Amino acid sequence: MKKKNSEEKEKISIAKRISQIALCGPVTIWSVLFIYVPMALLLFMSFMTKGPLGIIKYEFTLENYKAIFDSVYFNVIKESVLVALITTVLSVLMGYPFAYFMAMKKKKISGILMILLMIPFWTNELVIVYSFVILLNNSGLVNTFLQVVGITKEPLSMLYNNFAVIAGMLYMLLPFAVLPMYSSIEKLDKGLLEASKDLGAGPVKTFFKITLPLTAPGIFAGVILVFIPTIGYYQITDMLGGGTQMMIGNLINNQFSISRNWPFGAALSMLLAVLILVMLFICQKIGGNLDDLAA
Amino acid sequence: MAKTIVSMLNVDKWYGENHIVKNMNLDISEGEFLTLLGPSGCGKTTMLRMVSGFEQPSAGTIKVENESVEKKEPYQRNVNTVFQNYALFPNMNVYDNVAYGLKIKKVPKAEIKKRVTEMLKLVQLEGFEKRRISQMSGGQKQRIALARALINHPKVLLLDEPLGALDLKLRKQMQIELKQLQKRLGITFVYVTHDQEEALTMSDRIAIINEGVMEQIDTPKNIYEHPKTRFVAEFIGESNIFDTVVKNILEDKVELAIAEGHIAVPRGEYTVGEKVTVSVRPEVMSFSRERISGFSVKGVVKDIIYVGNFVKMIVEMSNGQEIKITRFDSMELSDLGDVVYLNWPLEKGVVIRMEDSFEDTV
Ligand SMILES: Nc1ncnc2c1ncn2[C@@H]1O[C@H](COP(=O)(O)OP(=O)(O)OP(=O)(O)O)[C@@H](O)[C@H]1O
Ligand SMILES: [Mg+2]
Repeated sequence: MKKKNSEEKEKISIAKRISQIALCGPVTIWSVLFIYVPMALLLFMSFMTKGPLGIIKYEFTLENYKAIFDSVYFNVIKESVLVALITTVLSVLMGYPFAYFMAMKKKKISGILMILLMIPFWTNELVIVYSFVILLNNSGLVNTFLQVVGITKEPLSMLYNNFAVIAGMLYMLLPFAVLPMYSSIEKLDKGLLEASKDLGAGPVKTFFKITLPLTAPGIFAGVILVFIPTIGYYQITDMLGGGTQMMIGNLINNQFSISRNWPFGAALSMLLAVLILVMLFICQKIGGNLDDLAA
Repeated sequence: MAKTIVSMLNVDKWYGENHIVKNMNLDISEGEFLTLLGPSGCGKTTMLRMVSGFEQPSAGTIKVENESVEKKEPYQRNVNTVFQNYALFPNMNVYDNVAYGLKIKKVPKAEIKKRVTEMLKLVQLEGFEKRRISQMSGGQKQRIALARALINHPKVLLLDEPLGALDLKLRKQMQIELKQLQKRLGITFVYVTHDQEEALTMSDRIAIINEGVMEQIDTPKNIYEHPKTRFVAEFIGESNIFDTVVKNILEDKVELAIAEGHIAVPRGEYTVGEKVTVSVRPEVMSFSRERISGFSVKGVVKDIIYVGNFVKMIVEMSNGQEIKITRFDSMELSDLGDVVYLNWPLEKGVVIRMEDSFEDTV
């Protein structure tokens, strides 16, 4: 009897294990093959030497990492981080009120707003970028309007600079900021806001003491979701920056395609990964102890 | 008579098509423990929310300290609330939750510290200052919510079923603590519950609400002994209700006809043919083997139920109505299947006249 029991248990545990493998296996294999292995290759490559004609010489060197601190490249990196930070901050500043508005509306209305928010996802990126070009160029809609109304005399150069790049990225990434913030605001117990008002706090104090701290996890999630793509984006920078603006993404792209300096490209990729990890770490540090609050 | 601190004057509340609170008139005296009692969905929470300012009356006026509060936001009213689900701030520890109201009012730090310490002592939560809300038990949360409200020295404290989430034992204990606290601090409590026993043990006065209408407002004793409407008689404690028609007006009593037989009430102003409802508590009911003068209520003992500290006997009348009789000892009851005649001391039958249910009860 006892033996049978333990046999059965074993059977169950085997069945359990098989189902676990079946459930997690594909993802594990996928990430090992297409994420960890390439990352390891990149790491390895970043310590190799560049040979003539884009050949990789398998000799250990730290030159690739030293080159990062060359002022030309270093400025690109600084600029990238700055643009990414500005985009992130703006998307939170613009996205939060929208998310708040959406969360406070009835389900029907917030559903419609959600669809509107998703429109950038349905549209081809190229179409979006070209419509930005049409809108923002010197004889484009915006400039024409400003001149006709008489706000400006000369056309403002709004294209092929950081303004255009940030505007484009904001457009593409705003939904990523709004969604997590919306979900945390929607989850917020509205009874707490009433309790705060009951205890004498007006709307502003209630916002800063209750709403903001309790929806911070959503904000941090939004920050991470916007910052990571922005710092690596290169298509938008290429087209709206008009080649005048370099971001890390462009630099890496150039190393692999034009300059054919793969080891340096690999080193830059590692730097990008580190920057993202730092950002995640900061968010976790500030936001981590807030995590249990959202529930 | 103490001075009135909160009053509702002809207050109505509509949610769309639904008439939730109907022409409510209510005066609450300073320092009293008033309970709003009624079945679920009768509008108790809505009434509290109109006093605290989270809902506006559709019609009528609400006054706090003789001043209309119509234009005042919730944070401008000298009223605090203990919410049904406590609504404690999860991003703050116990100390900061209790200190919240004072911090908002920019009270000096040292004084906040002193008052929070006092308050936590009052609710017996010293030493829990640094704890997170998620680490507190239901009863402790309830006390924090109480402390957080009381620290502001409100003129009126609104409590919306504050003990609803607690188990029976803790509930009984907190009932006593709350009542003692209220007496000691002298703050007006407006207390919402749908537990009639809780209302009877704690309140100075009880307002019975049914479907947005105030059925009766009085002391627990009067409510229990002299229910004014059929609803009150049935809602508070157990009652045997007889629907009758005035049959005979005699010298010393009035005979009322029931489905089969008749009962009697003391003399009063009745006219023959008038419809009258009589409510009799199970514990004042008597029975005998023979008919007693004035009463003719015959039935068969159908069931005997032990309810802990008392015993309940169910007598079925010939029209199917079940009459309850309670005693402390089963020896005082009859046996199953016995035929019994029911009666009671005349003055213990509470007469509920039809027009009473429409009378202004304030
Ligand atoms: N915001 C609202 N919109 C529409 N109807 C509402 C709203 N709030 C309450 N009601 C309705 O008003 C009625 C009274 O609600 P209320 O919350 O005052 O009941 P209650 O007496 O507190 O009941 P309970 O004992 O269950 O808490 C209910 O029928 C409820 O559905
Ligand atoms: Mg309620």
